[in-house]
Amino acid sequence: MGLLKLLRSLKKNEKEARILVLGLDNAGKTTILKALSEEDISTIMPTQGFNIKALTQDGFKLNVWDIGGQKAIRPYWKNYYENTDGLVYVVDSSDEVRLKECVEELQSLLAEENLKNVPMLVFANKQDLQFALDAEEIMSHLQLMEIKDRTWTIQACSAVTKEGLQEGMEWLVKTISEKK
Amino acid sequence: MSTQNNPNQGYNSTPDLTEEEVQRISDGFKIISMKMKNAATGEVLWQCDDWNLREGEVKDVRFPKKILECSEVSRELVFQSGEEIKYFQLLQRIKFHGQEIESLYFRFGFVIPGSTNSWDQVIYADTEGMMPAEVLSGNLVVETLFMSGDTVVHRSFYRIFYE
Repeated sequence: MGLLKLLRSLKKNEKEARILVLGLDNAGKTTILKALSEEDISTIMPTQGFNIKALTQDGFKLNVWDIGGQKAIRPYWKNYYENTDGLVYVVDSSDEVRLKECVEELQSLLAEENLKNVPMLVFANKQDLQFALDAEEIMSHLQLMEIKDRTWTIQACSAVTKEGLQEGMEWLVKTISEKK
Repeated sequence: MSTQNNPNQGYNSTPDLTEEEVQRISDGFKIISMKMKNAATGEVLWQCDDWNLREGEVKDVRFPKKILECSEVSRELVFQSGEEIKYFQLLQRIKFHGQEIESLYFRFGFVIPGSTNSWDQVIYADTEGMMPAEVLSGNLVVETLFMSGDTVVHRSFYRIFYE
């Protein structure tokens, strides 16, 4: 095995999906991505643009786009909606103060034409923290039960302990593949 | 299925940029680092944090031989852009003894002004046998073109050695 063959195999016609990961700054989007690809998560800086990661899951090649969540960057999110097969919305479950802001951003995403019908996974992240709200509480704050126009789920997780990450991604890929 | 990274479906026609716009994008564009990782374990096999190549320069890189033994290699490229870029795409050509043997295309789309961005690409191994490191070493050159639409904003080369 070596480089020539390695490169050749890039052209295999795999099942591909584009996943968009959004959420407020400090929600843990980049940390989740790094944890999913077994990388070191000790020195993660706020994302000042995008991070694209290729992951494989259940025979799917996922191109995962994590876009910075700082307020100044959010107006640029709309440039990344097109062709999205799955949306991941990451919530810092320990940040009760900013839940309102978190709900508002979600509402405006759900109203986007380019994200219409796109399945959504909500990660209720940071469950390792003592005062984190559980998934049920996050679900009620985000008014997820009112979403009728797409398939969605909420998954409690911790990017630090990796709990719940795999389950969430498995749901998303299964849902995307059923839709395709 | 997503077809956005099919090279046959690249941007057909994008608005022409003025020379000044191209120059500004080019001046504000910088590759910060490149990393090669074992995608199965996340282990960093090779890393360069000083990847500021001048136009046309050929950089020598020395990968550890064990990179060829990984079944999945993940390459991470970090780049900065001062300017907004609307139709950003990458074309990479790999040449062995000067002859193109492979090419790779990726469409980024929009780049946020004043942004730092990272791109991870996983390269999978085939199960069949392959050329040994000794044959490849020093004879592989990778040309990378970063483009805004059809216009090249950054071109760089690196030559791969295995040791």
